[in-house]
Amino acid sequence: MTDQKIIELFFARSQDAVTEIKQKYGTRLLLLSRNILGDLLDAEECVNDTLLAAWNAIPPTRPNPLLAWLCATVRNISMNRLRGKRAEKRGGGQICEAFDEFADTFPDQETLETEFDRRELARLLDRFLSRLAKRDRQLFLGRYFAGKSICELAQFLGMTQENCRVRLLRLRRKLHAFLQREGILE
Amino acid sequence: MNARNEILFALSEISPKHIRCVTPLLSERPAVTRRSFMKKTAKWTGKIIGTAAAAVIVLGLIFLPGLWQSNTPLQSASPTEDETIHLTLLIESEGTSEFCTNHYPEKYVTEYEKDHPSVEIQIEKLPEDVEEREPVLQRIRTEIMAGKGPDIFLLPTCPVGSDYDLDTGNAYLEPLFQNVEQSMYGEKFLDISQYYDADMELDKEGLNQAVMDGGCVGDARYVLPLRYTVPVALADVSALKERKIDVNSLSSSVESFFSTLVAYGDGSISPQLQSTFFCAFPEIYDYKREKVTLEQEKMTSFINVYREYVALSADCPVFPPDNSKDIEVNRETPLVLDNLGEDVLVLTALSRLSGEETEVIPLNTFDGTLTASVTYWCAVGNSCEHPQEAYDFISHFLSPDFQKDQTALGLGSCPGWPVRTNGFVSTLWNSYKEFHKVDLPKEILELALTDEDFSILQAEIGAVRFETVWDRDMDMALRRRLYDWDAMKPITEDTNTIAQDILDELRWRIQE
Repeated sequence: MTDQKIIELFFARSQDAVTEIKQKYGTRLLLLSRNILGDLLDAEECVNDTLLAAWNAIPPTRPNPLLAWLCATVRNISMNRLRGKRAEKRGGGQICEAFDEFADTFPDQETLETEFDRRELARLLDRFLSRLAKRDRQLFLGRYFAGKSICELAQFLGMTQENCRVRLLRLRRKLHAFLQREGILE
Repeated sequence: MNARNEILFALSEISPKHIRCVTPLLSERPAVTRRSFMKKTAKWTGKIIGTAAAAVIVLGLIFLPGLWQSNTPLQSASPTEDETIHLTLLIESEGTSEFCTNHYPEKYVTEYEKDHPSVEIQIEKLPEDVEEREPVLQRIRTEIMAGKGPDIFLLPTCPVGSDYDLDTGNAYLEPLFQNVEQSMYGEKFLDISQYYDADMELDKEGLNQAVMDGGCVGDARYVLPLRYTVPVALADVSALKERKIDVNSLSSSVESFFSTLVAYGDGSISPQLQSTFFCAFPEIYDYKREKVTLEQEKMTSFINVYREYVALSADCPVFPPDNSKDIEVNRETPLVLDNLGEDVLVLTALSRLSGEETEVIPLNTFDGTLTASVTYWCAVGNSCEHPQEAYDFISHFLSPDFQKDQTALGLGSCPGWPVRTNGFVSTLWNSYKEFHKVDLPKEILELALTDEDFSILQAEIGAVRFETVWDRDMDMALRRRLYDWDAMKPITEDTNTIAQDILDELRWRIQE
């Protein structure tokens, strides 16, 4: 079923919308959440929360593209859950490696200007990403948005793992320099 | 929370178009992309192709011995389909005349493709016909919203056919971007600052820096202005002195300009200004906060003066003239309102010949700022996947050669002055004389002009804007609310109400 038809089902308040969306995108959302949380049960709960969020948001929202909206939502829910897990030191998924990787360019003591909110930061990240070549963008987001392993990314992008690591390091440094230029790092 | 965590959390809120590029990775098995597939199979494919090629060569040598003696040159291997970079270029379709803005882009695409065999540029033209244009605009706007759309834009801010009759409000051609600045803030274009900054071949010194900065939002550069203009008044100083009109008071601001003429009491000495609303205010919108910053008090004050001026000059013709005959006629008009361009150049020449003291007065906005208007520009679309190639292509339009060649064709169909501001007066003047040599008197044809005759080029530009459809609509609204053009008499509506309505309309538009 096309995304357009699924959205029409949501607008018609038909519960088939949830079934269709789960059938079409459920696995991808589950994998994304699992990459973040490292636990399949937690991931399933996050996917269910995402479907509920979609039910509540559509209408009036008409996400386009639908998958991107779902991915952003499931990631947000999963990241919030991860925050709690990390506070309780209860592990996490591959994304935690990404947190550690970031430490070499963004040390613990480095903070953002206090008046900066997350939405503004996201717009800056958009600008940063727009400047990257598509391959670099896929590498950066594959690692830090989707929490994919270096091995998977190397295979997907047809690069060596070492090449992936080096490029990611350069991209983190580039991001650091960009945010410094924007004056948001304290 | 520290910066690192904030960034990783904020990634959930990035634009869907970026998320979309990562969704192919979200499958159980790593997707076998074309790249990885080709890499994996390259070894075997190479062997097979190598064997086949060897066989073909052997067969060729056996059966076609005459082939190597043929005069056909050996061509370099053309890039495969996978290696070819496809770019789409959107331009206006302003006729097919060589004097139109499309002549050079089309020619340059051919040259560029020849020099860059791996790049293929497909040109799309926006139709001139209003009915054909509408669905095309809708389609491209939808594509842009969906993160697609053209890779490169090369467009006039207001299409050449967009001029409309101020009195009747007849239809005009709608531009693709109704408000280029708002589109910059909305990141409809790609930030090309890294490519621009790294471009060492481009002579940036010769570009008008103030105008070029008009394409920036903060440090991000979204648009490369190619041509610009400033509103000017060409004044016959001695004729104005005879009428006891102070030339300095005309130049201080547009409000002062109108007040002076109203005080003189004869509107016939100056024709009407075409884009009053645009010329009046330097800053009207705060696109970042989606607010209208123009205060009602200023608006009301301006309308009060403008109301009197409209009533005074209602039956005067609208400038600019477009041929030498009109120019002759308008030698008798002591004050001519125009934009920086050919007509001002011609009137400057006429005054030099006659020995009359003429002054080109920059028409400052309400607060005394000279505001330039970008009339022709180019940009890379935000969804462009080959920004470096796209930038390489558009940077050519800023090169001295291109700007000079285009200027030599005249400024007629694309108004405005080259953003590489200096050094073009003689080129433009010579091309004008060549084109009008049948109509122009001998003494004009013999006259040489240089940049030194055109001091307006050195006027300090305080602000840069892109004229918007909104500005034009507000112009129309103002004129209709202030004057009954059928009955040819002023309308006595409360100024505060008009100002309030205009500002409400703008607020609604910016938030729409």
